[in-house]
Amino acid sequence: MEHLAYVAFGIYTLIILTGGLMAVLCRSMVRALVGLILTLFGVAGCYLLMAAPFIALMQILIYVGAVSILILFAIMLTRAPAGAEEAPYIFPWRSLAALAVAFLPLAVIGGMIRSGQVAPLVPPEEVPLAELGQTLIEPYLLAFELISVILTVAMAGAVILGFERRIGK
Amino acid sequence: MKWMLFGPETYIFLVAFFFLILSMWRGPHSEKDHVLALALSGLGVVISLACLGAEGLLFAGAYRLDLFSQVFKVALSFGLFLIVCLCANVEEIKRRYRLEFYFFLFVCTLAMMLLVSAQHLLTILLALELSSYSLYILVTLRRDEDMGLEAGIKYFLTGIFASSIMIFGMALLYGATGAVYLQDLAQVLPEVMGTPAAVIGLLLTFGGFFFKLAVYPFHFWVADTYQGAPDQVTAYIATASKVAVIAVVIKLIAAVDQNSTYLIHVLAVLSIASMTLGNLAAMVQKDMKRLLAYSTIAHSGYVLIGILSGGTAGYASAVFYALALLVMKFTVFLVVVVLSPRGKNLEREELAGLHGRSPLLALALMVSIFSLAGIPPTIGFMGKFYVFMGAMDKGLFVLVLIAMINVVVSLYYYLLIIKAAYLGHSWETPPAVHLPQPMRWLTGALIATMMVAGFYPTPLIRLSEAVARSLM
Repeated sequence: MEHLAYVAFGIYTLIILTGGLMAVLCRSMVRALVGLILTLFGVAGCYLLMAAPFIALMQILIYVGAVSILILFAIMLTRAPAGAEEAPYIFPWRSLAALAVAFLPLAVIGGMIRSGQVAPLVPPEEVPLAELGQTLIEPYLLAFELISVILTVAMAGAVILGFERRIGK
Repeated sequence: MKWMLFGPETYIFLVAFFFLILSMWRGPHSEKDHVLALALSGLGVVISLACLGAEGLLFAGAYRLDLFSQVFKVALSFGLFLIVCLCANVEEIKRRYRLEFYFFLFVCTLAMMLLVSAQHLLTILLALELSSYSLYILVTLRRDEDMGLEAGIKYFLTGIFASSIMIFGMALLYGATGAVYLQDLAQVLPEVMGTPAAVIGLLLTFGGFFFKLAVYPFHFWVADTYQGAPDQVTAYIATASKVAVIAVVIKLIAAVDQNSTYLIHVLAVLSIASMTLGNLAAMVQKDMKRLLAYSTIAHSGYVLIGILSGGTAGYASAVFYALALLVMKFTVFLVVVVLSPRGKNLEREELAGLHGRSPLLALALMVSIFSLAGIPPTIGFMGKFYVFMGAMDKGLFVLVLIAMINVVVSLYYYLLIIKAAYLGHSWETPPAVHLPQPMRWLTGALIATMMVAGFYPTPLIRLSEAVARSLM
């Protein structure tokens, strides 16, 4: 059973990484979005592995279902050309440097953490939904409300910056 | 009535959204808006003062009110009030966004108030993000679009990297300890302090705060952001925002530092690097705001000395230094804001002949610069004295020695400013500076505060000690 979990984890990680690379490397915005959706699916799988099926379903419902559609609308409405335009050919040296920046911290930090004793993984247990709701309105209430303020600020900022560009033209 | 404890935050939140709604209702009206903001932020100071004695836990322990958090809330709302005082003439901010400007200013203050009280890692993270988001947008509001946008994007990009590093660190920390409350962390951490995961997690978590504090390896944004942001926003970042971050770093270190020499070594190295780099880089700056940016990096180094000394004395000295920074940095920025030529930044050379143009401003500049440099009898001298004394008690002689050398180095560029203001001659004589009466009173009060606290710091030291004790 444990081996099966490792296999599943490997598959999900592969999905997440493939999606991430697609999102970064694809020149077409729509394809990049598909990559992002793939990543979000992979993350949902990881939640399933952690015995949190409710969160996994929410992840699919909200991120895969709603957020990506919104992004698609944003791409459509800004009339970004579907084909390739920005992102010129990346010189191999630069991509090498980018890879080094990505993997060097991973290697150093990962290596160091593995060198010490790693806390054993306890098999996750499913948390009942009622308990989840309870934490959301008790210790996480402030955090929950704060997120809405953050979103308001981010939206106001986006409007200010976005409108400015259009007026400038 | 537990909700009364939440008074200052609720008030600032309501005022912020009042401005947001007002901005949808009608266009900006500079003078009326300014008087309104002034009155509302002044009332905010009164409310925070009224809640000074509040104590308790809210949100199932995620939010803690004690003397520490309440004193810093008073300092923050006072800082906001001071910044709003400077906004009588916000020429640098695009006209149509002047109401939103107040909205972001108040929301940012709200976020910082939440930050000093938050006990839950997630709440701390979100409060920090909220304050950062408001600041990113405030920076880009400059009328000169290229300058503001450049500064904003640099700030934003470095900021999100710092945030992601911090989130990664928090995840590692949670993985290693299983604790999300600071008080739980304090209990669990000593057992796992030897494991690499906990140490790396802790260091990466602090990275995010060091970014806000502008400590050495995270300082790249400071000079460019200070230079490109509108003067009032720069003043806000340099005063209120720094005070909040110093508070949260003190709180975190007090929670996790169980006499672990490991963290102290890291902090000492960062402190030395920040002081040295900040002071050396400040020497060659011509733009006043860039100069002040590098001096901020150096001052973060001095504050770290107080924090790493630890114990009641160390934390109290850091608290004292934070409060002193608020007053002295603000006074320098007051002079910068008043003198800035329209659409440009103030150069050091443009201070020439300030003594003849406005003796009061020249005096304010001199006292605040002496205070930043740490020359007696000013509040800045007492701050440095107190910090270094705490470090000496812990036997950190080498660190204090390096800091002393840095203080001497910093004298060079601080004195150049004074020289320009008092002895410099400009070719064409610029007109005398007209200061409205209330601003004169404010300037006088600030000068008096810095001098009186320099001569008689005992009440402030008592307060800092009480604040530090409430943390332990």
